[in-house]
Order: sequence, then structure tokens, then C-alpha cells
Amino acid sequence: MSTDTSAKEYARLPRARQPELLAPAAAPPGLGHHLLHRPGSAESVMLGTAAPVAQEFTLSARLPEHHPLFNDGPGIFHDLHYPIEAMRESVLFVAHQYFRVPASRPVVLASTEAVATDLEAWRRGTEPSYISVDMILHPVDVINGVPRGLTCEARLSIDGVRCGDAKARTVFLMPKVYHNHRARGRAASRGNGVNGYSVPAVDDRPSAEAVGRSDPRNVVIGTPVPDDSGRLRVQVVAQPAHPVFTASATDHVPSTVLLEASRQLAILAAGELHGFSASSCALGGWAARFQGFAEIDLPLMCTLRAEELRRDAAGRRVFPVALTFSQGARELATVTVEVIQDY
Amino acid sequence: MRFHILGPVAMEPRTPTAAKVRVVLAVLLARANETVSTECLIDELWDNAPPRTAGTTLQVYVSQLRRLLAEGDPPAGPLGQRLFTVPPGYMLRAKDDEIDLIQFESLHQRGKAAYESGNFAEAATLLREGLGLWTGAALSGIPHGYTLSSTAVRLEELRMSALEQRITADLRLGRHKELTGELMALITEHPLRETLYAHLMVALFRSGRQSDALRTFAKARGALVEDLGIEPGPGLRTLHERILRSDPNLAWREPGTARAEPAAPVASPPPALPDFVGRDDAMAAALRAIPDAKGRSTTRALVISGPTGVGKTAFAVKLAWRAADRFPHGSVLVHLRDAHGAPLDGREAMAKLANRLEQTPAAADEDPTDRLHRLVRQRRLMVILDDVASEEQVRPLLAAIPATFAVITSRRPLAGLDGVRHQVLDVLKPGEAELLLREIAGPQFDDDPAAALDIARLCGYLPLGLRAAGAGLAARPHWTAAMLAQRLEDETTGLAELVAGDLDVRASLLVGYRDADPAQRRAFRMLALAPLAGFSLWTATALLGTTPGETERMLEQLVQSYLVEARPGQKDQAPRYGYHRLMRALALDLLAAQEPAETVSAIERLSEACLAVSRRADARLTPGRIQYGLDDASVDPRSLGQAGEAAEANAVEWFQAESPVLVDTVRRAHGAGLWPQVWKITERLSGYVETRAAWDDWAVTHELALEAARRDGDAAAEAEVLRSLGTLAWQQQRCRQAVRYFEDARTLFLSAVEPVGAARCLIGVGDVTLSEGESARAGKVYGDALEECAAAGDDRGLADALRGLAVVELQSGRAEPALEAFTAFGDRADRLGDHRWSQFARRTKAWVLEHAGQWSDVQAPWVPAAVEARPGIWVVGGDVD
Repeated sequence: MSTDTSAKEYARLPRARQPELLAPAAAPPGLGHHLLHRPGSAESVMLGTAAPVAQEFTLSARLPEHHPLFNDGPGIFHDLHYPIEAMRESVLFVAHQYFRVPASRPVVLASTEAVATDLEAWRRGTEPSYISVDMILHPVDVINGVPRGLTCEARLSIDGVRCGDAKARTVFLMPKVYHNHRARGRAASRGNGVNGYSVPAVDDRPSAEAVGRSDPRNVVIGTPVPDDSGRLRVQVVAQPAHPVFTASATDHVPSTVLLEASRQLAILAAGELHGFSASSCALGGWAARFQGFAEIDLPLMCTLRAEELRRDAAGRRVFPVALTFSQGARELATVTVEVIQDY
Repeated sequence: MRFHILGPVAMEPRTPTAAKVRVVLAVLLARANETVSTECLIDELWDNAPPRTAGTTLQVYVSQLRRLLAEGDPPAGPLGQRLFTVPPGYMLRAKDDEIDLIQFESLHQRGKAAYESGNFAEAATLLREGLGLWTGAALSGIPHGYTLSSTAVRLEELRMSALEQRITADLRLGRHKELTGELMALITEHPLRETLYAHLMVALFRSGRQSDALRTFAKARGALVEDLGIEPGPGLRTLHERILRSDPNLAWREPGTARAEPAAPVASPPPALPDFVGRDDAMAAALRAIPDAKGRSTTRALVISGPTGVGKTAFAVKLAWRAADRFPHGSVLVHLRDAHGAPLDGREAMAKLANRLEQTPAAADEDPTDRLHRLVRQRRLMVILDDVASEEQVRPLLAAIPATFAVITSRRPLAGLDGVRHQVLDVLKPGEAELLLREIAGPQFDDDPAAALDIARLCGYLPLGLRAAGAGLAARPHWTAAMLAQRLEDETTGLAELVAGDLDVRASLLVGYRDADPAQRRAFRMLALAPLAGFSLWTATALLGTTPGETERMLEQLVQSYLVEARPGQKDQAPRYGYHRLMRALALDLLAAQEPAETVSAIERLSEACLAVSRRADARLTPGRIQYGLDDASVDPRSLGQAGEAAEANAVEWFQAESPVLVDTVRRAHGAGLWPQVWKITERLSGYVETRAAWDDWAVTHELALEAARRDGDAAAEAEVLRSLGTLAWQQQRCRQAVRYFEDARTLFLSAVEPVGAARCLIGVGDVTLSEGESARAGKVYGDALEECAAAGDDRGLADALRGLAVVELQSGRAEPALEAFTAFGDRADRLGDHRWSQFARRTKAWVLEHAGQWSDVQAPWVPAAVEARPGIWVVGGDVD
């Protein structure tokens, strides 16, 4: 054995008498995953750095099985939530770690979309499923070697089966621009006299089952009412009862709330308008374009416009809807969702 | 009396009102002054189901007709002297000027004669007068049986013939503007009549409406393709070409001002392909190389070279049409091969060209050179010498026509010819290839546009392949484009799909192969054992079993013959070689037919070469990683030239370029049952695939290597493959499977008394435990591994265990111990010479220091949300103890 000071030092660390080769414990809740850089150049391989050109990353993870939100409900399919959220987190991480975007620059998510191209791969089985998200991140508007934005194109595979595509676009603002943007947005949201905020009462919300969930604390929408033009309008519960929504402390309504609200409203509408069974619905696609941040202390409304019902290649009914999130007169996001009726 | 059958059947002064009587009249008029049998009349009246009283009824009809004829012709008397009973039927007598049909035929004949004598005005007048006799569709207003139907068709054809001749005469007279409306109406009525389209195109062109003329061609083509599935004929295509290039000879000229016809012979090349696409840059360059309109040129010939099927001949023909105004005496194409594809010799080539220029046979005593010289003297011709085999073949011919511009097509560069320009044609660009497919089989891509790009790629963008694929698809409307793409995807069978009529891609590609000598043919076959992605000199040297110098010369010959492609290396690196996709399919096809033992030997040589060279690259990239089988290289790396040095000098670049060769060789060695080579090459590759997270290559090679190691009965090798698969599963976060792999590998290592491998398995378990957020337990496992590595004298394992311990400190939020541990790891990495690990240690230490402020709170230590557990691999968001 070769002698080594450091090795000796570390030999003092407490350890088991015999090597432990036990089966690992169950995965903890949360978004634990691996993020791998696939370097394209020799320099990048050796130094672990990335030039401001397109870079490939892969996210690998065991899909959650006991997540309080993502696994709440009938549990027939894995949610699109996980890859969307994990991709968003990865893009932010890569921006700072590899593209050297200063931490002081607030990140604005301009758009995100995900589509399930092979729904069968999303169906949950008795064994754990593993997802890999192969991402190519393109820097945009590079100034002094630092991008002002990133676009991400991703391919999703579950257990080795290619089953979806995703995209995201982020912008890194200068702090002053960001604060002005927030101030203007907040003023606009209050502009037509909207002040204060009352959360819809529990008995003024749809049942958890009707929105594809089981835990009433996860319901993030009120009871929808039709507006003058026949569209469904609903108030979003910006401060849901379940702590999962507040895991990431932000000064605005987290994107998870918007994602979940659009999911719940789309499934609810699919049931009410076309008789879909919420317990066997899946999201085939979700795409959002964000124009502003939703303020936590102002009422957040969502309007749904139903599109024409169609069938997918497997003959399943697909219900596309277009949703608009707004506060006061200010439009915050437009979202399209496709609900698939499985059978 | 007057009789009309060029329109509704009628008779003056009075027409029979009963349709059946008019039928009898029509039949008798159509065959006026001939006897028409009773059976014929009965058939015409009742087809195949005459009533029992048919004979009697016919007599009644004839009787009625006779009465009406008598009314109109009183001198004939009450019985009528026109309609005679002549056994076995009846005959109607009429003078020529009484029947409109006979008048029309007379005018038509006179009009034709006038036209042919050049009297276009008189021809137009006579034909117009004849056509004026028509009052509608011939023999209309009555039911048609067999006789009347066929007569009506014949008469309509006659009318169209007269009409087209009249229009031609009018065009000659410069009445093109007046004709356009009439022609447009006629085309609506006769949408498949190419002559009408041609007349309209000329009329529009002469009226200054060139774009409308071109649209008319498109309309004609659309109608023909859609209704009949055929392309327009050569005449219409040629006219289209002439309009495209604004051929001045197409413009109308006053009679008598036409340009003097050039002295014979005037020759034309074959029609250009109607769906020729792309090549804009090459065409522009070629047009610059050929003589200008005054015959001035800096060169005497243009050599167009390129691989089989790239479209050299089509390009040359297109060039001839595009440059037609520069060669007033035309252009001629001569194929310099015989019926069996063998090259003509110089004398035969000259004779063939001369015969194309002169229809009369050569005089027995005239020297071929003199004859050719005589035929091209004072003429500005373009001569296309197609499919030239060698410089020797065309030198005598070019010497015989020194002042005539030649365009030469060849599968060889013909670099030995003096005073010529060279134009090399490559495959089409993807967009052009897609366009060509759509031109040929457009509708079948409507529902699946992506399939066109797929098929184009699978044909390697080679025009010949694209034409065969497009034509094959068009001929099978029950196929979808995706179905064809799927069939082409299989490299071994795809070539068989590229046959459509006489378009046989394999047969065409074989011509180039057969031109090569036996050694070149062997090399062409054997090199197909390298992957499609390409190969470098050392791979070819191993496959051919020759020296690097010999291999290089052979490769150069193959490149010159367009059997193999040379691809420039990056920066100052040596070139790489490869096959066009379809050429490789041919080579593999031929390889399958040769003696298997020779193929296996080549694979074995390549496998040994892979081991010898990759060992040096791996030792540089992940020093100390491989512990087993280092003395197994049976090939002296020096026999492979500088490959070993290059691999060592730039290990990452070497793996980036050569990993497809290694992966492919693993597959081939596995197929050949070369078990030790399979797992050994895989082992050398595994450091790189781990570094790049190249999961696909990793999984494919290791599954094969696992089987190979088991068949080889080598427990340590099997254990090493399992350990690597464990690392792959860990990267993919399949933690349970990773642990199973590490457990199995450790058991095998221990049974084989390989303590180094066994200790490294513990490190793998530590990584898994770390990813699960169990830092404390991971620390214990790494600590055990550290001890075992130290005991086994495994410096690399020692460094790796230290790395694990350092990451545990980091993940636990203990900054100072983390810094110390990374320092220890970095020292070890420096000593190993693993620059990648050294850099990893340095940047992590810098990162810890960068976040010093966040670490400073001892009461609530900061726990990073993500830690870099190995270079480039971040463990994100797991729970922390």
C-alpha cells in the first residue's frame, strides 16, 4: 500500500466495521435528481467549463411516487409537473453554474411547454420509473460572454422510451429593469381598483376528485362560473393550504400554482363540458407564455375557453383548452392544455 | 339537297323528326355511295337486342326516309332515286358538294397542301372555311351504335387535326395575340392534348407573357401527371426549356426575315430532365467556363466528375440547353461505352461521334480523324463525351476536334488532361434532395413532409437514389412515404428498394466497382467493416493488413475512383475516410458474398489495433483505471503509423473521433465470436463513455461485453463490466439497479481475488448512497473503500475514495473539512496525472471559497442544493442527514 497523509487523516473518520451493501432507502420527497453535463469539446471535458455556445445536459431521476402533489389523485399516470419543474430548475442552475449569469440577475421564465408524445410511457406501473430529460441549452444575446437569455429544447424518455418533448425560454434581467417591471406590473394589476384579496371558501371550491386530485388541500381553484361570453371564469387560490406550493419562497405566486390551477381547471371543464372522467384523465400537453408575475396579495383570476374536441391517434378523446390568467385588467399568462380521456 | 353530319344530323330541306330514321340517314351518309348492310343498320338501331320485327321496321324507316328525300329532290320522282336497295342492304347516293363531311375533307386537304408549300395565309383561310362547316359535335342529336360511335371519334380527330394546323398557320402569320383566348378555351375542352398546350405556350411567349407560358406548362404537366400519371412528352419539355431560356428562335419573325438555318449538321442533346433541381452554383461556374456567344474561351473542355449517380450527365445536358445560344450548330452527346458498359477505345469513340454528326456512312478511304475534323470544321458545336473511363480514351478524340468545345463526364477526375477546367459534382443539398423527391412523388409526401427528408438522408442525397426512391414511391400509391423510409433504414436491404423500372441503383453503382482493379475491389469491400461515420488511416491499415504507406496509396486510388470519400480533418489533422451511404450498402452486400474467414481475420486485426491504440488514449484520459489485461496487445502500435502518439497526445479528441470505430468493432467482434476482444475494447472505451455520459454507446457495448466475458469464462472481466454498468445505472439514477450491479461485481472480484476491483465497487455504492442524500452512510462506505484501496495499492481508487469523502463533507455543509478533503483528492489526482480530476478538485475548492459567506454560520450550516459529485455530474436536491 502506498502511504498518504490525507488517506491516514481520513482513516480516522467513523465508519461501519463491515461494508454495507444494503438496498437503498426509499427516495426522499422533493426533486432529487442528477444533472449531467455532456461536454462537447475536449477543453470542456477536461476543465468542466462551458463556452457560451449550445451545451447539452441530461437530467436523470426516479419519478416521484409519494409526492404530496404530483402523486396526489388516482395515480394512473405520471404528471407532466415533474419534468416541467425539474427542467425549469435545471435551466436556472445551468445559467448560473455554466453560463456564468450573475446571481444578482433575476430570472424571468418567458415560456414553457411540454407534450407527451407517447402516453403509454407515462402510465404508472408497480415498479419505479426513471425519467431522463436530454436538454440542449442555447445561449441568447451573449454580451461579454454572458447570455441575456437561454432557450432549452428537451427530449423526455421514461424507462428508455422516448415519450415527450419540452421547451423553455428564460430571460435574465438586469436588477433595475426587473424591479421596474415588477413595479409597473403591480401598479397595472391594481389599476382598476382591485385591492385586497379574499380566498374562496372551501365549500366554494370544487371537490378534489373533480379536479383530478384526492387531497382537498391541493385544490387551487374556486368554483367556476360562466362569464358573459360563455367562458368559464374562476378564482385561483394563490395561497393553497398545502405547504408543497410554498416550498420555494418567492415574492410572487409560484409557477407550480399556475401549472396546477390550469391542470385542475382543464380537467374540471373536461368533466363538466364533455363528461370526461377526472379519475382517468391525463395531460397530453401544457404550454404557457408568461407576461408578468402574479402578486400574492391580489385576486388571481383564470378564464377558460374550450376548443374543439378531437381524438388522438389512439382514438382517445382530447380536449384542448386555452386559459388566461389575469389580475385586474392585467393579463399575466396564457396557457394551453390538452386533457386526454384515457380508457 | 344538303346533308349535315358535322354537327346535329340534318338534311335540307326537311330533316326526319324520328330519331331512328335520322340514325339510318346518318349511317348511310357516313358511308355515302357505299352499300350498307341491313345487319349493320339493325345493329346500329337496336344494338344487340333487335326486336323480332326488326327487318320490317327497318323497311318502314327506309321508306320514310325515301319519302323525305323525294320531297327535297322532286326530279327524282316519288320513289326517290338516291336511296337504292342494293343487296345485302342500301346505298345513298350524294354528290360531293351535297355532304358537309366531303366538303370539309376537301378543304382540309387543300389547306394542308398550302401549309406545306409555305402559303400559310391560304392554308389558314381554307382550314378556317372547313372548320366553319362544323355546327357542333359530329353526328350529334341521335343515339350512337358501334358504327356511328367510331365514326364520330374519327371525325372529331379530323377536326382537331385541322384546327391545330390552322392554329399553326395563324401562329406563322403572327396572330398569336388573337389565338390565346381560343387556345385557352380549347385546353379547357381538351385538357390532355399536348399540342394545344404547346401552341398556347408559343402564343403567350410571343405575346410577351413568358411567365404565363411557363404556367401553362405547369398546368399541362399537372393535368397529365394527375390524370394519366405520365410526364409531358419530349416536344413539350423541349419547348418549356426554350421558353425558360428565352430562346430567340422562338420569337415570331416576319416571313422572309427568319435567320438563315445554320449549315448542317445541327444536333441536339437529349431532352433535359424536367425535374432537374439545384446545382445553381455549379451551373453558374460551368457557364463561366464554356465559350461565350462569340466563341471565345480560355479553355477547350470542361471535365465534370463525381461519383456514380450524382447526375453528371443530367448536368451536362442541362448545361447544353442553358448554353444553346452560344453554340449555333447545336450540341451532341456521345456515350463512350459499349452496350456491355465497357469503355470504347479512342478510335471507336471518334467513329461514334462522327456517326452522330453525319448520317451517311464513312467513306472507306477516309481517315477517322480527318472525317471528324471535316465534320466539325467551321461549326460551333458543343460535344458532350459521356462516361469517359480515362484520359487515354479521349485524348485522340480531343486532338481531332481542337476547336470544338467538349464537356466530359467521368467517374474519375481525369487530372491528366491538359487545358481543361474541372467541375466536381457532389450529392445534393438536403433541401434540394427533398425538392427532387417532391417533384417526382409529390402527393405522397403531403401527409408526411418529414418522411421526404428521411428518405433523402437515407439515399445519401444522391440524385440516382432519390430518383429511384421517388419513382418507386410514385409507382406504389398504396405505400406511404414513411413505409419506404422504414425499408430504406435497413442498410443491408435498403439498396434492394431502390429499383424503379430501369432505374436500378445497385446495378449503376456496380459499374464503378467493376471498373476498379482486384486489389481496389478487395479494399472497397473490406473497408466497409469500418463504421458509416468514417475511419482514419490506422483503421484502414488494420482492415487491409497492409503498411500505412500502402494503405494510404490504396485509399487515394479509391478516392480518385469515387468509391470512397475523403473528408478533410479538423485543423491540421489527417483526413478521414468514409463511404457514401449507398456505396457502403453495396460494399457490405459484396462483403457478405466473400469468404467469411477473410472477413473474420480483418475484424480480428481491427480489434487488436483498437486495443493497441485506445489503450494509450485511455491511459491519458483516465490514468490508472485499467488494471487488467494490459499485456494483451498483440499488435505493435508502430505498425499503425503515428496513431498511438496521436491518441495519447489528444486523448479526448481521439475518443471523440474514434469512439464510433470502437463501438462498431465491439459489435463486429461480438458477431465474429472474438470474446476477449469484445470485453477488452469495451473496457478501454468505458472511461470515455463515462466521461461524456454517452449512455447509448455505454449500454450497447457493455451488454455485449458482459456476454463475451461470461463466454470467455473470465470472472474479473465480467466483474469489471458489471461495475461499469453500475456506474451507468448510477448516472441514470437507477439506484437500486446500480447497487445490484456493484454487489454482483464485488462478489465476483472477491472470488477472483481482485481486491482493487472489489474496493472500487464500494466507491460505486458510496456514490449511490450519496445520491440518495444519505451523506453519513455514504461517508462510511467511502471510508471502507479508502482502506481497501490503500491495502490493495490502488492509487486511482484511493483518490476516488477521497473524492467521495470530500463530496460528503460538501453535501453535509462542512466547508473546512470539504476543502481539506478536496485538497487531498487533488494531490492524489495530480500524482496520478489525471488532469480532469485535478481540475475538478481545484474548481470545487474555488467554489467553496466563493460561497464562504454562506458557510460562515456555524449554528445553521448552509447546505448546497446541488453538489458536483463527479466531474460534470451534479447531485441535486436530495435530502441531507
